[in-house]
Amino acid sequence: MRRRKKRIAATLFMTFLLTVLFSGCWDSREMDSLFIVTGMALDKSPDSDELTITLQVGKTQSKAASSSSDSSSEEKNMTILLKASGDTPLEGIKRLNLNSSRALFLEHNQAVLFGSDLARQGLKEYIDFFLRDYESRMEVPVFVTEGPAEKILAVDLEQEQSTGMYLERVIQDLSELSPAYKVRMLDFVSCMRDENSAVLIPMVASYEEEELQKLQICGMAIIQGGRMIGSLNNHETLGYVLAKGKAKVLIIDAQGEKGRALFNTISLDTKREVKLKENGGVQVKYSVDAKLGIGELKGFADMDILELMSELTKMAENQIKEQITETFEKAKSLQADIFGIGKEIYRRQPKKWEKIKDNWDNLFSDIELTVEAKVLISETGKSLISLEMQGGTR
Amino acid sequence: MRIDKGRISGLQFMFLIACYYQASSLLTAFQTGVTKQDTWIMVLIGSILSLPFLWAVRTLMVTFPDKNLIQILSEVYGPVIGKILGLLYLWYFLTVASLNLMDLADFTKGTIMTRTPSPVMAAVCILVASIAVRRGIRLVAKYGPLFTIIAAFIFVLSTLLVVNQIKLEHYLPIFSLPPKKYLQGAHISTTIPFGEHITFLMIHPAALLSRRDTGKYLFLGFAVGALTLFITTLRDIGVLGNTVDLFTVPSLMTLRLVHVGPTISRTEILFSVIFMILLFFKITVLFYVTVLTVAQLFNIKSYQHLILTVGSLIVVYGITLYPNPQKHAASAQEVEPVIWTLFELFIPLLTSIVAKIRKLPKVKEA
Amino acid sequence: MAAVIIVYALLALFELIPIIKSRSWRHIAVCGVLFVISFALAILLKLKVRVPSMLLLLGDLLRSWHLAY
Repeated sequence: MRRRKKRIAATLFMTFLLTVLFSGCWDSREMDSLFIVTGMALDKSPDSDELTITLQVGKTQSKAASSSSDSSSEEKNMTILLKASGDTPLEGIKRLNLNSSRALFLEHNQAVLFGSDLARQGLKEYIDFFLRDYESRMEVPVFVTEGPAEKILAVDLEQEQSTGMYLERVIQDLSELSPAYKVRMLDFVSCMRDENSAVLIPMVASYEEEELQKLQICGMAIIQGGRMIGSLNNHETLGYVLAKGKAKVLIIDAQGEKGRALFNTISLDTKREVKLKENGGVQVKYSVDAKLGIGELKGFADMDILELMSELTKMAENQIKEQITETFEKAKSLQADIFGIGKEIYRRQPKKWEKIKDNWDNLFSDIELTVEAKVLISETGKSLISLEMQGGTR
Repeated sequence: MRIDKGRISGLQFMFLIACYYQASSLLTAFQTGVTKQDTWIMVLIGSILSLPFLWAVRTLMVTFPDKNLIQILSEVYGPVIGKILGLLYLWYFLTVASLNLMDLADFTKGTIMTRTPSPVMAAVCILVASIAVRRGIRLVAKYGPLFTIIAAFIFVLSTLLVVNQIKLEHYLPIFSLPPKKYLQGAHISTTIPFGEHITFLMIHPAALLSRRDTGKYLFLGFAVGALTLFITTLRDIGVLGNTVDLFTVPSLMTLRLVHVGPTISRTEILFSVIFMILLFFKITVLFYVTVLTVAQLFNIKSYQHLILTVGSLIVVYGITLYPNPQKHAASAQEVEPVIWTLFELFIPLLTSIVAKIRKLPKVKEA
Repeated sequence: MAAVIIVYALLALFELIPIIKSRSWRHIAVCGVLFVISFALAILLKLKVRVPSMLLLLGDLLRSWHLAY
């Protein structure tokens, strides 16, 4: 009987112990005690050498309990902006934590924005926090902003609650167009580990239209060694996308003597050959194989369908070649290896790379580039001929 | 078996081995830190290199079917040297158990429960494990098949989910590191994940195994584990590329990056769950083996009352082992392979040779 | 500190007392030694004494013999 009592007592004790210890009460975090961060912006402080960290935080209550005299809209701003300055991101976050009633929760961060000032100064020293902290995720898309990043976060958008989420969705859509648009923190770090490569990061700018503030992706920032050395506008970005291949929903805009044509991409494949010459020079050849459909035609008066097809094919091919060459020349002028050619040489011929890597910047700007494009126009849309063509009007 | 009367089937033995090795596939950081993108080659080489030693273990199991390691050592080397070696192995099992326990505690502390002190998590784990150990090998091995299947399922699922992110150029350049790294890498791979087959020498007396089955189950279990580790390494390198040596737990990063459509993302919870399950199993086995070693060494008939004491020792000893992660990693990459070689490779091989020479076991008249 | 003492007291209660009752000299010795080591380490750790780690010491030894990587 005694033994049985002992066993029951021991079991109860163990149950109690394990229940208490397993509930994780030491680490309990309730939803209403958290600030859920949806966007993070890092800027250079205007007056000091420090960093300004702005966090966009979502409000977790459904109704903003405000009894203010603000009678305009009920569901106004669903986000709050928290700002702090510090030498490093972690210091800023620490300061924010000290002065706020809730704990910051970074796991749901949707975007990280770097101000262009900061990007030009250098980003390498500020990345360590993102690498170490378990809460910050490596698949967060990164952006560079035109102007201070905190202004972008402060933009009050119509259709989305928070700019962070908006940007994340925009990038998700753009990545359908080309995977080049979605640069995750991991990709950014991966590129920075290669000292000789440059990485492209989408640039965001804000603008006003009819008194409404909007955001747009205005191009790509070229970052080499953690520092922004230039940018590509949207037109030049297309050249980069074409060179990378794997573009899906792309529109190629070709202007010829006879008229202007816009093509839809059905498929686009780009192959690249990198050859190291005996005398140390580098030859790069791009071969683009594209299947396009006619999206829209303007002009081409009095041409018949067969002439038109050959004309359009030539126009598309020239357009592709020109765009890639244009972007490549820009990269060469900045000595920024955005195409990862150095990386490819390192991967495939590491011994030869060892010899040339110190001189890579010069070698890169002397690259001999050849672009070949082969276009097949396989669709014309719903109609075969346009009104302006021969046989369009009778 | 004299001490623990429980018996397990050959299949359960195999699942125990498989689960044990699968647990090792989750902690690959110390390997990727050395050989970076060539780690998968090292894993392959390591698994092949450890096969002869696995065979030595099998020989011992078959030659002494109902004697565990300590008993074998006494018989082969005589009572004095056997006891000394036994004490050394006690230290070995204690250390490996503590290391794994600390890995589990630190991982939980770092990722999920950041404010709970890691000794608390370690103590809780040991408490639960002690329930299993108290009942003997039957309960310890009971969940082996279940855990192995869950682990295999999660492993396959997680690999399929990141297949769209694997880039072949992440494996290049191949063989561009200094040769010493490859030697070190192969050595680490042979001793740390694969070399722990010596643990099973304490368990095999409890398993109902025929001579043929011993080899079959041992190598099958090993194959499952080795395959898991190999594919995990391949997958992590393919997804993470040149960042694979940055992270403390690369597989966690890989699963964090899963992004299949808008719904399937943030799947690292799968990894955390399976990590805890598998590592808990491994710790329970090691805990049991340690307790059994103590009992066997000192001829104690019933080990029931040793359990919590040994458990507390494992926890406390574990805390003293590595004060910080840098020393942990450096030691794991540089020192541990050398130390474990003695216990895992050298002594088993020597023992099986000596046993052959001395024509043991001496057949006693029934 | 109090937690450590309570835990080890409970441990002694549940584990050591039955062993002492069984009067097996060897059993008591082994369990007692292990208990004392464990308790001592726990107290030392709680007092923030830097207990040297066996593996690190071994590592230094091997390094001095040039046996480590």
